[in-house]
Amino acid sequence: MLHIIKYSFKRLLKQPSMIFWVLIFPIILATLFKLAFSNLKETTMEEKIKVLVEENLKNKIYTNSYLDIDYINKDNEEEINNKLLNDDYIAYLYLDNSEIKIKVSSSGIKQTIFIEILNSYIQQINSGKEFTNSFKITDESSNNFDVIDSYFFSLLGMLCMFGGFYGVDIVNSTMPNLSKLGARINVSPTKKVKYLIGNTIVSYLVFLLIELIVILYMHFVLNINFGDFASVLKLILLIMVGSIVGITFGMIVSTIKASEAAKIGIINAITLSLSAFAGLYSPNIKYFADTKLPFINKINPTNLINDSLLAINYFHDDSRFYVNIITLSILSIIFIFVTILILRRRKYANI
Amino acid sequence: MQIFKLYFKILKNNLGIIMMYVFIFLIIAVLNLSSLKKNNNFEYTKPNVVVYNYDEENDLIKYFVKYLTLNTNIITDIKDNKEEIDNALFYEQIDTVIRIPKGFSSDLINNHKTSLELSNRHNSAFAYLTNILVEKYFNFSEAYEYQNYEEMLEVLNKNIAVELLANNDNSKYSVYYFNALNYVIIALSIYIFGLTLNTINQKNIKNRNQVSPISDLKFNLIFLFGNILLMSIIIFLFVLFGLILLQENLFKGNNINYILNLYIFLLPIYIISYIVGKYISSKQGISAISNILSLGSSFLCGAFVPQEYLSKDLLNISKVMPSYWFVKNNYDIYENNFRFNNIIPFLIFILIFFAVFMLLNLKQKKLLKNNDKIKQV
Repeated sequence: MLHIIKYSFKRLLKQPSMIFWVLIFPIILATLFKLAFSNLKETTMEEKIKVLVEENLKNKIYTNSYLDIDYINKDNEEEINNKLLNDDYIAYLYLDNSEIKIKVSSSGIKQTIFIEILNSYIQQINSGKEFTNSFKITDESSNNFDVIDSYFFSLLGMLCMFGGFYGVDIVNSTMPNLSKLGARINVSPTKKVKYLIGNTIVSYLVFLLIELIVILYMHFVLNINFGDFASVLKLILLIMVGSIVGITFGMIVSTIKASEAAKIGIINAITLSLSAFAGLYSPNIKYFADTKLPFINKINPTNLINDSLLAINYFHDDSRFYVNIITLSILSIIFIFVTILILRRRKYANI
Repeated sequence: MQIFKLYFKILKNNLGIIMMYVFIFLIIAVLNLSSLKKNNNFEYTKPNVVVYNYDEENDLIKYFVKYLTLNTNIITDIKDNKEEIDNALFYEQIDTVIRIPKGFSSDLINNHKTSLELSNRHNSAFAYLTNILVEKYFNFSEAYEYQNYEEMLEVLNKNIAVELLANNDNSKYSVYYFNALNYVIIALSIYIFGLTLNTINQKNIKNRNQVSPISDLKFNLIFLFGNILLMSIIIFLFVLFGLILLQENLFKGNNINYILNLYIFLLPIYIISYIVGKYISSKQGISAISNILSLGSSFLCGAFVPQEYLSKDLLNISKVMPSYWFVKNNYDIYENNFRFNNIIPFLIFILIFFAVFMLLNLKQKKLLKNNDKIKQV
């Protein structure tokens, strides 16, 4: 057995294209996500809203802690337009025949907030009623969400499914009708099942090690937060089960009658489509699939991994995590069973 | 013609992957563009809210919902359970959950308990807007002593006059569409060049071809021509598709510059693809490089995420890639700033890449010569 393990390990190290897909590609993709999305934040109220106001109205309007007001001469129309179009000023407030008017360069959330504050003020005057303004909202905010993390989580889901490459490799190197190596092994006195198990264990361990490297890279270099100790344990459990699903999925694909390149192509195509539904290209696609095509995403391994990580880190919803991990376990058991069923008891008089 | 036929024979075997790239791109383009809207008047931005009413039906609530319908998008297909609400808040489908508790109206009217709890997306400007709107409604209904709602809504619907500055009337659709083309062009170009050149450069095939009466130069030129022709056809199809999708006249005024920019951008890309195809010997290597260069340049140069959202330092680094200038030129065309200066970076890239190609070629010839000498000895 040790002999088998040693040589499987040696063989795995000599496959640069596999290392590229499971190690280099995810690291590059994660780095690109980080570089491209790090400045992409949703509009928040942390930044003040910058507005221009006609000079004559100085001291006449009431301000609000969210507003940053600059005064400007009314006649200077060109400068006003320039500032609206090119600077950060979102609106210009002025009097036209003693009627308040606003000029903006585009529609948007900040413009709407500014105009809505003014609307409230003017509508209160127009109504001629007395206001106490005593009604207050108590804000029960959700956790601090960062949709960008969804990209990294679905990337991990994709990585687990790339374990399929190892699955293809295991079966190809064991089955006599698929490779010369398999044919050679088959005539040796070692039992095929022994070889298969040894090979699988080595591939699984190597794959886990590679995933660990990717996760460590994400955490320490890209600063992706995977939560506290308990969350990290759950992450490890998730990756361990997810990798089994990935590898056994590859084993099933490799029993299809096709060239090795075609099998790799099939795994690539299926993994990337599943990842699309899990939100690798855009979180909106995951939301769409979650709500409109739940039957796909409830058994989509890539999505289950992404969803579990969101449940752990953002929703703090343990039941959701356990449902997902049980589904993944069931999937892996089904896949293992199917693989055994297909691969067992094949005998060849000649090839 | 013989060689040309061979070219398409090689291509036919790999048509599947080429089609896959084209389809994935088209699907993403349609999905992305359908989320954009075009406007000439100022429009109030509406936050997305869900309302769950556990209180009795009365005028206060009825007009509250009516008021919200006018000023927000009320989302109705989300059930009041943790999982669905968590999902919807996380994916920015809703900004605020308004849950009206039992006995809220009577508390408000009779007991002067004046507050309502809302669940907001953390720190979201949209949620802030919802809060303003909700507070406004209940403060007004108090001032109106919880009657005359019709009259109250009328006052609430009278807004300040807003003027939208006349902007460029072209939409930014075209910019986004052409920027996204960066990905598929680089991926396809390297893949197609790489694949065809890789096949004819395999040792057995190359040796066989070299003893044929057709000169090496002619063979290479015809393959080059085939690649360029094929890419041009594919790109023409993309432009045609853009024409239908964008519903904008691309041949009107400045818009023709988008196409011009695209075809000039192709030249440096062709040279890179040629170098990759000629000097990378394994097919896996070619597919790896095609993936890295296409995704990398698209993310780093602002083809996927608009350049204004990328950090300055990153953009400074991106300037060493043709994609940066391609994307920047598209913005310039949008702003009517496209001049001859804009294509100078491409010319520089063409010179640099061509020089690299010549150097590599020279080195290889030297190597071959040395090998011949060794053999003769």
